[in-house]
Amino acid sequence: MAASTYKCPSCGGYLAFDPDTQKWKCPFCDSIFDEQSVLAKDAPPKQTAEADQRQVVYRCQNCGSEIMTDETTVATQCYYCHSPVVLEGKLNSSMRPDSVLPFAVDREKAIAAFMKWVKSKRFVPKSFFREAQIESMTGVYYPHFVTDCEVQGTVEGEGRNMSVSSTPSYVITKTDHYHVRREADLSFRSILRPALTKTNRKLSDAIHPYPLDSEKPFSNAYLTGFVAERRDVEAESIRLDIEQEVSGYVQPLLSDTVSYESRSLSSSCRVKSLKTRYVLLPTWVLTYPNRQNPNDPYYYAMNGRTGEICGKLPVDRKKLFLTALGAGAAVFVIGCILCYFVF
Amino acid sequence: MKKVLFLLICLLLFLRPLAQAENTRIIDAAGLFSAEEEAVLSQTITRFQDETGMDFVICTSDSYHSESLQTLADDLYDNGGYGLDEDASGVLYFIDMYERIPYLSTTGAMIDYLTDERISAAHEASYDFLASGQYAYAAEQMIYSVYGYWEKGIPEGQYRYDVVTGQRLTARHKALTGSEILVCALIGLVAALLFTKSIQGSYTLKGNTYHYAFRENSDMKLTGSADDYIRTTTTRTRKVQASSGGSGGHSGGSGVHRSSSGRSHGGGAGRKF
Repeated sequence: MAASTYKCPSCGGYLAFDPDTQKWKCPFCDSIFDEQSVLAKDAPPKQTAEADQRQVVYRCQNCGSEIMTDETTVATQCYYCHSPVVLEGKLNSSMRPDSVLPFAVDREKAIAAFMKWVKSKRFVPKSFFREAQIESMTGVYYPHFVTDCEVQGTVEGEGRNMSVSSTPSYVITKTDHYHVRREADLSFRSILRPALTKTNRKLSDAIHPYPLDSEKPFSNAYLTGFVAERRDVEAESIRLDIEQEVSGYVQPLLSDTVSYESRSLSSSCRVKSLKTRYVLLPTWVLTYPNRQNPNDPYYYAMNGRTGEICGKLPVDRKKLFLTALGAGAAVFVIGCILCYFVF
Repeated sequence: MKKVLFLLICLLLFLRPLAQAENTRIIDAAGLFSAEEEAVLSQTITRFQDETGMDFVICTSDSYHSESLQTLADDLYDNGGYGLDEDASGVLYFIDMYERIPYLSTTGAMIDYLTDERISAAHEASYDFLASGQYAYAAEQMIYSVYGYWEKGIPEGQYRYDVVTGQRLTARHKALTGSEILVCALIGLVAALLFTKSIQGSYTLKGNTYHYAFRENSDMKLTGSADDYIRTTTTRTRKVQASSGGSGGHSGGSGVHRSSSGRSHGGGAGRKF
């Protein structure tokens, strides 16, 4: 489904990104190239316009999925709904991702993990194991926004300390009341938001966390052999949501600095800066058409970094029904035998 | 010669039901039934025999008998050569007009069908007819009662015991009652449903959804901190004396006293304030 793009300086073959070594490997002469030697050929970040010429976007006519890849990677089929995709054109430069979390789990490992998971499931239709089906497992980068945010937070309220003493006939409780105020500069790192609203998104929603500290500046070279969903959300539209989330953290963080036996505090928060970057996160994806609901295919998704998996497998209903019937009948017969001999 | 013998046996077998029909199962020595009644009862008995494969004999008597009713009825059945199977299974309904007592004698498999409890119930069902002199109805009712018990089958837990020694002679009859089968079927159904649900559940893998660990991913620099004393408040609470107030009685009981009217009352005073 995907072919690699960068050429090997030694033999002219196509290079492919190897998640295992985190380097680029020539499948023909086995030469290995590191980040510097491959990315040096890529346009420096400031001259993105030229680099963007090498990114193309394919659109799925059926589910509307927009996937981007580099220009020599040929996509023919939608990884999500298995419908044909058509080349839409070059990527709009404003859509260029800022960074990427490269795949660390390679295809063999992803398939092996999938087979291990699915083999224990007896009610999966046989066609789900078909080689062609497994071959269609695709490495997909899902678009996310990662936000770093700095805020000034304040909590204010009352703190109380109590002391209890006792006379022969009375218990005396003394409470000291204090007015408490704390101000702090807080910075939050790497708040994640999906940058995709389409249903395809769910494939990357349940395989968190992604280790964002291994992010790399984006280069087309990371797309070799993989595809990426194009974001359909603007960074501006998540701003309010992030601000709300962050303001909710101010009170618990600042309250930790207030040590009274009891307290009643209220918080306020002012956002000083908010920086959002467009990041691609790696996911291995395998889908299987759902005849009852073509827009909700069965799927298997694996975090391309940690190997965390989620999925929804098809169930062979007839087989399941017959087995359940058999199990029910067995319970019935055992019950009857017990009733006959025991009661 | 063998062929002739074979034909003869076949003929005998063929004629047997006819012979039975003629061989009446009604011995109306007391003359309680009219000819029509007897005909109806006879038909009913034939149907009973066809359905159950067991015999039903009705016997009436209004003369004195020296032996017990039990012995009399049993002997009548045994000596009359009744019974259709090899155990001579069947029942004899004896209406003794001399002592005005009905009696049921059971034989063979019928012993198991008609437990003591069922026999009493069957007599109960016919009692009103006997008391009002409708003996034919009483007899017919008895046939239906016995037929009904046969249909229900041998009751679960039934056993034979010696009436003299009380010793149990057979093991309890094991049977599945309708409600047991129903409960088992329900449990089976629930098991099947649970199985289906658990399989379907295990085919959807939830995974980990996103959760922002804000304490690990944040830095805080305190820029201002103030703790200003406002005031001190004091509250005094009188200690609760264990023995003060009330009547000091039992914690779990209710003290009761009698008023001048003689009526009982409960109560107790509160703490003085």
